[in-house]
Amino acid sequence: MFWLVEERGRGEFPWSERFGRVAVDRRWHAAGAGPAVLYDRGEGRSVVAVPLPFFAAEQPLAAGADFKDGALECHVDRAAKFRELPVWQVDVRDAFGPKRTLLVDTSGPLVRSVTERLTMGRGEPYELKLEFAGSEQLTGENLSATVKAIDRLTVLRGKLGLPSQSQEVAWKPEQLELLGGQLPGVSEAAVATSLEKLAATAARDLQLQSGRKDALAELGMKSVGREVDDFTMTGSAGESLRRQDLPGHVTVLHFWDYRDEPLKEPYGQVGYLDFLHHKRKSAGVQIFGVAVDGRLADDKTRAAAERSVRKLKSFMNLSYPVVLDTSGVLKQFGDPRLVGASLPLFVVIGSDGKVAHYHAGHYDVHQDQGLKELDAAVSAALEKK
Amino acid sequence: MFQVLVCAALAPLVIAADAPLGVGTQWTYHGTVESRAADSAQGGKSFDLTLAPDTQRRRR
Repeated sequence: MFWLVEERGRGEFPWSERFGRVAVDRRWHAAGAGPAVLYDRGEGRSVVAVPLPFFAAEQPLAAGADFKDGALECHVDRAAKFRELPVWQVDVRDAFGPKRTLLVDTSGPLVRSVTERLTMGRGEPYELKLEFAGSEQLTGENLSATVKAIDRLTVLRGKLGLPSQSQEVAWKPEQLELLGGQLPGVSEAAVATSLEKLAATAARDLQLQSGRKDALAELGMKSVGREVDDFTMTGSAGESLRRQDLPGHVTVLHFWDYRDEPLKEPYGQVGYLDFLHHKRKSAGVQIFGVAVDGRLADDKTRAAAERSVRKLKSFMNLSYPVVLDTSGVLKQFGDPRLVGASLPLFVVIGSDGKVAHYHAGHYDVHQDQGLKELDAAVSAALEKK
Repeated sequence: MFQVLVCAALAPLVIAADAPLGVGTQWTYHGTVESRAADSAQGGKSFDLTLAPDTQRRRR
């Protein structure tokens, strides 16, 4: 079964996660990850699996019939209508109680409407509704064009090597190159098919991310080699970092929001950074987290932001100090958010007080070597010491 | 060949084996996800789902 999802409101998956193929067993259960949407609750995001609207039973459906579907208990409540079409209303329960209500075509496996109860976050109740909107018979050229577009998009996504259900995607240079070479052909194949809009979204994303990559490279070029201006930053537990503390040390600054919620993997890569701190502190390398949080600028919300930093630091068991950027210190190094990129920003300052390395976003992680690229930049700065 | 058997009198649905869905048929569904909490001020989410039998692979 091929599926395609278009989301509106409360977050959305990147284009690469909005389509797929899913095998179904003879009971129409998805074997593997099927369609899903992303729901931003404000304090975190949840992946909501969308049920496939098909239904099978191994006995005739009739009002009052009860049967099991694996761990689910099904009860045919009554004959009903969905827009004048005869349907069976089937109530499905799991071990926790009512799970979903289906309106199933009396003439086939198609489900016209699904109402499903679900929970997200800390058990908050939500409801998913799915309602049949229409069908179309694809024929001839349109059918073969659709199949070709699906195949090409699927192959392209495979080559991109993304983890399943990636919630954010920042393309690496080699991925941008791959997309640049292949997306025009995919877009052409998708013209006049249901995938045309998705292909256009992918093309726009490519354009945006290519521009961002160039802008970030420019920010990095401006920053590296520059002498650091005067600044003072303090932390809520007495930590302190001033411009005059830099000479004679290699210093790593890790600008990130340092909020305890919403917490999203890979948590700004603070775990790896802490590992680096332990590894390099004997060589005199200073590592400072720098909390960048709009709430720090407002007296009314500053305490909440500081509390959030402390909770995160404790939760992640961080041993390196975290100071607060209350005066826009990030700007002098080149704020990646100004060109549409996200924190964290890693900056290495040499013992001469000049920026030696600038990296916006997450590093590729090497399981055995942690933040290998950052470690190499630190090594290079130590050699110059 | 996949087969759906339909008994007309009671309009029951019996799946005798894997069922066919017409090759080339494409279905669209409209979906929403909303909070059920009585005091929720959250706006919901909507989405469209398009489904089509895979013309490349058979059901398992």
